[in-house]
Amino acid sequence: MKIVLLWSDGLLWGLVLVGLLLVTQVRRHEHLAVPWRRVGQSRVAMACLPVLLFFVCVGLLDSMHFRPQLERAPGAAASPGTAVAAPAAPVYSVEVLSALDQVLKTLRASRERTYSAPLATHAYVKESIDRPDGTTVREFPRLAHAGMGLAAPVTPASVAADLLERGAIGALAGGGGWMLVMLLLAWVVRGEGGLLAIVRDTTSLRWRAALAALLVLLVVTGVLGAWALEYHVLGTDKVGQDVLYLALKSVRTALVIGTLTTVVMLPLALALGIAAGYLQGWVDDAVQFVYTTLNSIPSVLLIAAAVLLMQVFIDGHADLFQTTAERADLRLLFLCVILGLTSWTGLARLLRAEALKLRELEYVQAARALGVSSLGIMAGHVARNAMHLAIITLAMEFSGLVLAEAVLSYIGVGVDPSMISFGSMINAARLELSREPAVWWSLAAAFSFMFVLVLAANLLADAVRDAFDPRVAGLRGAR
Amino acid sequence: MSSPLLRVEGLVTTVENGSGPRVPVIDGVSFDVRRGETLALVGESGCGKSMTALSLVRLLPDAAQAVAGRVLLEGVDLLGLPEAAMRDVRGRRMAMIFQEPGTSLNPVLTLGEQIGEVLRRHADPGSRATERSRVIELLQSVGIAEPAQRVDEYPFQLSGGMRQRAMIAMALALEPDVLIADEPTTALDVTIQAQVLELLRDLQRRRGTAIVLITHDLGVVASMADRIGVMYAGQLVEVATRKAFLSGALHPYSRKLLAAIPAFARRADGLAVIRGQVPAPGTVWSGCRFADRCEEVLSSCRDALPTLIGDAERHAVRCFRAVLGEGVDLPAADPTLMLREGEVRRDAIVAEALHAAAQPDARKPLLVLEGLRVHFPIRRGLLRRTVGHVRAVDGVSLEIGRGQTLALVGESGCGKTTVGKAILGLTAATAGRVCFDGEDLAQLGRSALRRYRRRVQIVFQDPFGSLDPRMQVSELVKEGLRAQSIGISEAERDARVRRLLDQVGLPASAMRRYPHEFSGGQRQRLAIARALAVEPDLIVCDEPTSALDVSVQAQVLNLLRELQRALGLSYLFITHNLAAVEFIADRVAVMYLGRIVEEGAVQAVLRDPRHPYTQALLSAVPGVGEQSDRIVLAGEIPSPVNPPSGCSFHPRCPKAQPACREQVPNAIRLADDHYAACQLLAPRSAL
Amino acid sequence: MTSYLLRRLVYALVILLAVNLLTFMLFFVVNTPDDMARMQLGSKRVTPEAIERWKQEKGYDKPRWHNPEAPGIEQFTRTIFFEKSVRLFLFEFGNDIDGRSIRGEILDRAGPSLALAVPVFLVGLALNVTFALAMALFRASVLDLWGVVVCIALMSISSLFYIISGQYLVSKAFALVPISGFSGGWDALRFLALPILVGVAAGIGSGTRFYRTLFLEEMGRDYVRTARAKGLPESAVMFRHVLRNALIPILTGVVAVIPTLFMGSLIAESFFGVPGLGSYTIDAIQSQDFSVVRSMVYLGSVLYIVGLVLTDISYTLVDPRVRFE
Repeated sequence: MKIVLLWSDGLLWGLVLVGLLLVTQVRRHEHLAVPWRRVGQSRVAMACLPVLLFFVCVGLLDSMHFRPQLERAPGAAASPGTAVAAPAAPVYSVEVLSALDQVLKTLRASRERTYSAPLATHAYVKESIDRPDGTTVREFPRLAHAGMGLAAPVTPASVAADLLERGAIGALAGGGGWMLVMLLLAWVVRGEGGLLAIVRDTTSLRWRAALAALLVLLVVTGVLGAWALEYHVLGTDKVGQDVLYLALKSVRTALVIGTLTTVVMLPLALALGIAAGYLQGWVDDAVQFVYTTLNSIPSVLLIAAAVLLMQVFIDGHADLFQTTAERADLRLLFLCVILGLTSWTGLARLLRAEALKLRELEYVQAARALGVSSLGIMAGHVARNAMHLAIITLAMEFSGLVLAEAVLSYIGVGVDPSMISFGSMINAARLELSREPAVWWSLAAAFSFMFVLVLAANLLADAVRDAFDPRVAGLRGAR
Repeated sequence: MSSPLLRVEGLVTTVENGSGPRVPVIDGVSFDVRRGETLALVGESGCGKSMTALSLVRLLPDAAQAVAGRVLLEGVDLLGLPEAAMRDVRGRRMAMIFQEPGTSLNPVLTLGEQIGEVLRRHADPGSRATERSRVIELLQSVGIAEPAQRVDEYPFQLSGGMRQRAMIAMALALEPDVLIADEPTTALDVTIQAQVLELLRDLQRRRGTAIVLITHDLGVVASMADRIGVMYAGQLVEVATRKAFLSGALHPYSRKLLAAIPAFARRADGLAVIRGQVPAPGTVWSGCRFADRCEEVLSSCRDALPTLIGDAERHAVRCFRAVLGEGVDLPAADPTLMLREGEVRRDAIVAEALHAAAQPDARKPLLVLEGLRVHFPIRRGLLRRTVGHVRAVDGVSLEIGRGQTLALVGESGCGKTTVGKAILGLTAATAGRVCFDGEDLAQLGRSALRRYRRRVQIVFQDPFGSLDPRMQVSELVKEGLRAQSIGISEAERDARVRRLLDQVGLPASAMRRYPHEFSGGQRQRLAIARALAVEPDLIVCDEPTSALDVSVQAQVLNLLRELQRALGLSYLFITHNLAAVEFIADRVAVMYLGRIVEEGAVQAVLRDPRHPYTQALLSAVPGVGEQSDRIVLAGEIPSPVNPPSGCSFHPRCPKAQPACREQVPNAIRLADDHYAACQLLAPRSAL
Repeated sequence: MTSYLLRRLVYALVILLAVNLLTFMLFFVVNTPDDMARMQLGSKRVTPEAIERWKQEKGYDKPRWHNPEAPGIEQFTRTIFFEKSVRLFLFEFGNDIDGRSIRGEILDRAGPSLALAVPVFLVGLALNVTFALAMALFRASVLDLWGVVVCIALMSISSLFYIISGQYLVSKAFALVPISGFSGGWDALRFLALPILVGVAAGIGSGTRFYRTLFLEEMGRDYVRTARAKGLPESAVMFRHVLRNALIPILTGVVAVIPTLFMGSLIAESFFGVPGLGSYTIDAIQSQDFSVVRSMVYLGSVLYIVGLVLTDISYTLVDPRVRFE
């Protein structure tokens, strides 16, 4: 096994590290923690937390890549002669796998020939099958990896019974896991009254809501997981791939786009927006000019143009990439950069306006009177006091980017076609609804996974905005 | 005695408090107001004054609710009325004026539309034309010039004073029985305040309106109120007629409020302060709510809540000392207890003058301004050419001696803050010189300017805007030390911060806390500590107490004086508050439209003002003494873009002569240390 | 006012120049015409001669900035920069990959684009403002709280979902209107009904939420309390005072968007087979027709800037504070 560190993996894990560092910082500083605690006092936000954590875990698991070592022919390894010889250099597969692939091994391996409906035991379309007696009949063939444990005549009743049994076990497992988490949490908040306080919802953070959401999440995961061992829970697509597997693999793409784009956008917006607002004069003119110019170009076209150019570059330098995964990864990163370059202007504008306001404030004047340099004031006072805008914008931007990825991939200027994403799933399935009978599950799976992710992110972003935006706080007070 | 027009009985208003139980902010307030009477509700901010006003007209914010008591308007309980009936009361029988005329008027509707709306809502004004003429009449009656033109203008086209007049016109359009004025003049300059108060008095005299006046300014109270109610922590602690209150306030809180008003005669001893701060809503009390801050507290005060004892028509107080008949040792003989009581004893002035003369180096100036001008260009047109200048500061010459305090007094827009910024080098001078200790500020290079910043520091007005909310106190105070590379190790700097906090009267435990954890007064102490950190010689204090309640203002003024004595600091004290000037300044300069109109020793200028503007300014400060020759200036400060020719004060000057229009007056020496820039004061020969 | 407009116009020209330079850089400097030719011709037939021929056909065989061989002023005009970028200023877009005039295509396709975009915009605006007003009027009530949740949920649905499911449900399952296509005249209504419905539905979540915030912010202002203190009923406060003030940002925002309606909507048009500018753009992106993409970039910038200028003008018309400045 050879570890492969893709660029996006490195950046994503780096982001996790930075995130953890920030969390410790926030915990240490009361004034930073206050708005976050307000977020935690929102039931909706706390209910979104386990859902988002689940997606993040899936995405991170999918960000540990390796190339498996190819097994040599078993006969060769067994022969005594080669055992003493110097081992040849190991040969690695060109296929890059991730830890998630390893976890979902059964899903990945259980490939059918073509479409099958969710939880079906037979294919969705009739095929000509040669009977042993030489006759050929057209019927729905039995699937190769679904309901294998069922006795020969597979009836809807036997499938239902099997599903019920497996579902019950899965639900119990999920419930058990939930109990463990609950007890752990009760121990964590023992100072506030432990389990009783959680049940009565008197804890300072709304843990009850989080636990309720977690229960639903774990039970659903348990049931689906139990079924997935033996069935295609969400069916299979045209080439027989398990749709649940595709949907889970898409999560990472969405997360990378939603987070890494902000890595590009944030420094640009912070530096240029604050410099423009605080320094005024020609800096302001220049920054305003740049962002008016960028804004004036329809962003889809700018992205399309840039991605097309990227494609030309990749086609011309195919030798630079050892595997398709590396090529797709580069294109993904490039997409993030382009999205970042087109989306920093909104935040920069907000920050500029805020810096304009802050520079007139008396503590900034006092700092100038004390002889603090402009750079010191911008970093020490202006950036710190405009940070809430950045946090609100980043939170709101995330869901927008996830949705944008789908649209861009659909148009054909998104991620590499070989990369699994919500957009490419939708793109591949675009005409399936017009089939007769309609194939709906690929689209449904992509849309519902995306909906849950984006909804959770949007609800959290809403709570973040409520907690951080002083204007919203004012509205709340007036109510 | 006639039955009261408005009677409030046991009013209780509560607000939401997060997820906890509702918290009372008004707790059993009762009072009466008769026709033609003015009742003033006073107290520090956070005492429930405004909430009381809003409860009366049922315009409380959504989070607040009046939950008990009655508000009887001629016997009808307003709190029990259905909302539709209450709407008939608002605007017609009870009207309201708010603090901020700028934001309280709808920016996109003309005055005519906004005032006409009231007429249309409650009465049939007939045709559009009659409505319009009625609005014009109303505007005229509140003293708005050219009302036929103003009626079609938008609020932003009017000055602050004019807007407040328009608000009053709107409120009085239907001659309501009760007018509730919530800090009606707090946002206005003192000469404009005098105009508005005069207007309210006049309208009341003519129409017999009952006024409930909410204010924190005891001067306004003294000049307006018939009766006074003092509020503390959601309760009335004292109700008295003006005379009874000013000559013998009984509640320790009221007495402290009065004693905290700065005055010349209090210079030697410092001002009275109230320890602690106004309790937050939701505090649980067992006894008298003032007990923790009271210096005359009895043991019984902590056990039970005293009731309001006495006749609310004349004098009632909520204090056990009054119950005990202890008479509450009223220092009736102390003249300082009365507001601007008139003449201060001559020997006090003499003593003070001697003290000033004894200051070391007082005669050698530390800071000299010579003909300072700060003009801001106005750019217009295609090429952004300069088409004019805002003459914010237009030729100011001043001197500040070592260890001395010079007060720079004037109304908003007169340029006094710009002078301060120019001294700090935050704004470049257009012309003239700023010389500090012999060095010309304009000649300083980058590093010299940085060194200069060690010697001149600033303390701002707004205790909430002047401290970065995201910095710990130790960081805040250290900011200057770092910028100026003072102190080598962090430990050294920490030790210094501790010393500074001690100097301004804050505990060392404050170091790790954040500004929002402190009250307004404490924050102002922090701002002072930050300025002191770099050991300056001169501190520019830009309205340092204007945003503070009177008792807190007293603490800060006392502190500034103590620090001056201990460290030999010089202050440039920029303010519009003449009472504070009396208390703290050695010399005073009065500024009008970018120029100094009068300057001199504080007692000379304030006791014997010679320039007509200074005279008007002093007379506009509301006080108890019935001054027969109250001068109310007409009009407002002209725009500094196009200042009037000659003496810029001539359009408003009651004594203006034709010559004033043409000639810019020079400063004339009137006495040893008393100058005024007015031609009328020149010796005959000069004219 | 005129001097202000003049200044705006000069600024707009400078911005367009920058846009042009930027696209020129992207299309001709980062990637050479050779790359473009290779991509267009496909990897199989790539010979140097074929590339040269392609470049000559499309007019990419000249130098980029400066042509030393040409006489006089033509040193600068017979260049790729002049012919491909500067001519955009005169709306001379040249021909697309199939040899049709891009300008002609744009003129032909603007009609269908507007026929879809304008109703979506107007109906959407009316519905959004109405819902937002209702939520603001009953703020903090059950209606408002659930309204916000519904808005967020609607916002969380991909626009692709609206289109695909709308198409499936309305045209296929209920067979109410044609799935896609377009025709002129009144018949267009039949084809446009579904895309308009989908477009309005897709925008309702974010739109309503945005306007609700706007109204609430306005309702927190002091003048609203003054209006109530006059004894005005809540409806008068809402419509006469709050709406009047909130209309200023609404109107100016609308004015900024109107010009960009010309660009059409990318996905809806291609999905529903509306022959507008949006589907034209998508086709160009998918067939990698750079001259069309470049023209659309330029057109988009022009329209955006027109929107900016219109916003400024509309401010002076509706906001007395700006009008009397």
